[in-house]
Amino acid sequence: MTGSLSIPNFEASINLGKFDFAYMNPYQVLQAIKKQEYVPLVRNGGRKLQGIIVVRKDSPFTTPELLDGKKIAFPSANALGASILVRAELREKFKIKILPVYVQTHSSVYLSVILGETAAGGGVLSTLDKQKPAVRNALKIIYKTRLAPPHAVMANSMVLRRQRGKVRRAFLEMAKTKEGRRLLEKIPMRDAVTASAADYWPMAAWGLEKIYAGPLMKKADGK
Amino acid sequence: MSLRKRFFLLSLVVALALVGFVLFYWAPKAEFQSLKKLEIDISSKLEITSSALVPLILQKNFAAIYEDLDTLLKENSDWVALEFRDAKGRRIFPLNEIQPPKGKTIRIYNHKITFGKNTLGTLWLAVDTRKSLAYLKSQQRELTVVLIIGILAALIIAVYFIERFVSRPAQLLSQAIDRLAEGDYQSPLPETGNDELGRLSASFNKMRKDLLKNAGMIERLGQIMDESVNEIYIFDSETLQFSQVNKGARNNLGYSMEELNRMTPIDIEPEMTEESFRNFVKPLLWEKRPFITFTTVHRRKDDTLYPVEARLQLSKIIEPPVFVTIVQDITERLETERQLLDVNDNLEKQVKERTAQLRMENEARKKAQRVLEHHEERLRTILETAPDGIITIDQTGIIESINPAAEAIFGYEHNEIIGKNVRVLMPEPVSGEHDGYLKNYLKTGKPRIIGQAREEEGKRKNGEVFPISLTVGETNVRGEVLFTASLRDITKYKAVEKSLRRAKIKS
Repeated sequence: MTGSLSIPNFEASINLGKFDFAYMNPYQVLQAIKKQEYVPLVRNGGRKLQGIIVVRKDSPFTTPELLDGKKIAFPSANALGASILVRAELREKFKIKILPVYVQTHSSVYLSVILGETAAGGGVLSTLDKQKPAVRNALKIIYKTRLAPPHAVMANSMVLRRQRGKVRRAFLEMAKTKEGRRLLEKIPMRDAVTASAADYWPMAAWGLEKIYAGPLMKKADGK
Repeated sequence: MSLRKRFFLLSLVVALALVGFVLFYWAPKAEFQSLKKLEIDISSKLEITSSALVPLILQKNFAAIYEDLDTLLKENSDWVALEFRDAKGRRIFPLNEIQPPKGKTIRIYNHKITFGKNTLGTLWLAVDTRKSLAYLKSQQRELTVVLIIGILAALIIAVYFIERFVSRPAQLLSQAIDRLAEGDYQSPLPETGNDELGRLSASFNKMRKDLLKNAGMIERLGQIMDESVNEIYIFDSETLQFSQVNKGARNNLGYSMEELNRMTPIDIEPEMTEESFRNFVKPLLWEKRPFITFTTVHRRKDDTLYPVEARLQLSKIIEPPVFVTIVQDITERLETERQLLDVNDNLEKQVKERTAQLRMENEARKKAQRVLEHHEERLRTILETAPDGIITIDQTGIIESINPAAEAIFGYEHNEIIGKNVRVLMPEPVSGEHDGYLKNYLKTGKPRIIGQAREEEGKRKNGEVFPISLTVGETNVRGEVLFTASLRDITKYKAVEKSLRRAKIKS
């Protein structure tokens, strides 16, 4: 088992097919599937990933369209839910241009909005819910993005089908026991269900590649 | 004030001074020092915080800024308000506007956060020093309380120990000494251990024992004085009234002590008036003389008189001074003296008579002596010039004298033969038997040779045996038996006799 020091590092390793098995976010899964380098084994059976746009409760920006030309805070460029999904939809669906401000963390995004540093911010429901009431209550959600499929465990296509099946079954078996679920929770993976490429194909049409900045995107662009 | 009370008050003053010192000197000083340290502490914390905030501000990482500042507020309970405004003066932290706290103990700090030449914002901090110093204050209170409790406890313990080891023993000792002063030498003093008081008590105890001994001695001395054959009078040096008169005096005078206590020497000395008496004792009062010896007469209660010799002196041992008179009834002495004078006269007469007698006797004796001496001289001359040898021996046979004729016969000098047994002048067997003859004669009175002239043999110094004609006489000089031997060498005579006999036979 091995980990990567950074996300770009990890993504570069995926590109090279260095890992036999890998735990990837939906965007990475999509790219891996596209390259036919990895195949999905299991994925989180829980809630799907969804980005949100928040503004101050007293903000005049009540719809995404109004945010054209405004500063919007995001944790980072490549955060899938809070940043990529949101920015992709603003661009593709609402056709507006915004000035992204990257403020490192979800909490900073929310504070930035409250303090008026930015007109709005991109986040996800789970992190918003974790904020202190003073923060949470000062904000309102004006938009929710499409639901993206969750993270998945992927197997290198070089790994024998029989072995891939064994690993998948092992995950599924784990999900049936209490102890196994406790372990899966740490990934985090609420529930383990069989993942298929079909789960991720719809994302291909979302134009995420135009937003994403990193090794995967470069490769994708290169093709 | 008792020792205990004094000590207690003293200690209390010291304790109060100590507490006062802590409250009014040490505490404010500590507070001042603490505030100074606090100031430095806050400045340094703000500086560090600023440095930490710079990248976060640049990254617009508000969450981290909030987290940092929240943490600071949480960690520093005395930081009652903290605000961060950006360069434009907009409040970044906290979310809601705060009411600046007010109060004497509130201190405000403003700290600019800079990055290079740019000011990124300002930290505004309100610190409640009361809270900062709360710990110190509580420590002070604790210290003060502990100090007071400690001092009180120490005081109680000290007072207890003083009570136990000083006050009580001292009180007991003082009571005992009071008893001692009242003349009770019997009850012993309390034993209080080996400390100073104990030693003091021991000293007093020793003193008590000495006093007890002395008291006994004084009592005995009093008895001795009372029993004295001398009459002893003690009377006041001013009033002249008798304070003590011993038994001898009381008996002689016939007064009781009660009576005498109301009397003065003038009452018993008919030869004195008060004035003359006072004049008489002046030399003593003025210390011109140590004592006065005088003779006078005393008058008894029954008006009879008796002569006395008195020795009067002033005793200043006790206050006020008293006169002490030691008086001797000299009636008997005077009588004895008179008798002695009579005897003396008698003796003198007798001595005179006897002396005259002795003188006469002496003269007679001298005369007799002269006669005797003359007589002896004659005798000696006779002896020395006698043609016969004369030897005297005592009853044991020791030669007492030998005359020149005898010396010549036996060949001895008188000084080598006198003191020796006469045996040496005789040949055996007579020589060995001579002592026996003497004893026998002295026992039986039967003489062998005494009184009759006979022929015997003598032995000269050179050992030659020769015939002698011997006569022995006995004399008794002043009870001592002396034998006198008168002898003649008859060797020649014998030789003639022999030749005659031979001629006779021949013829």
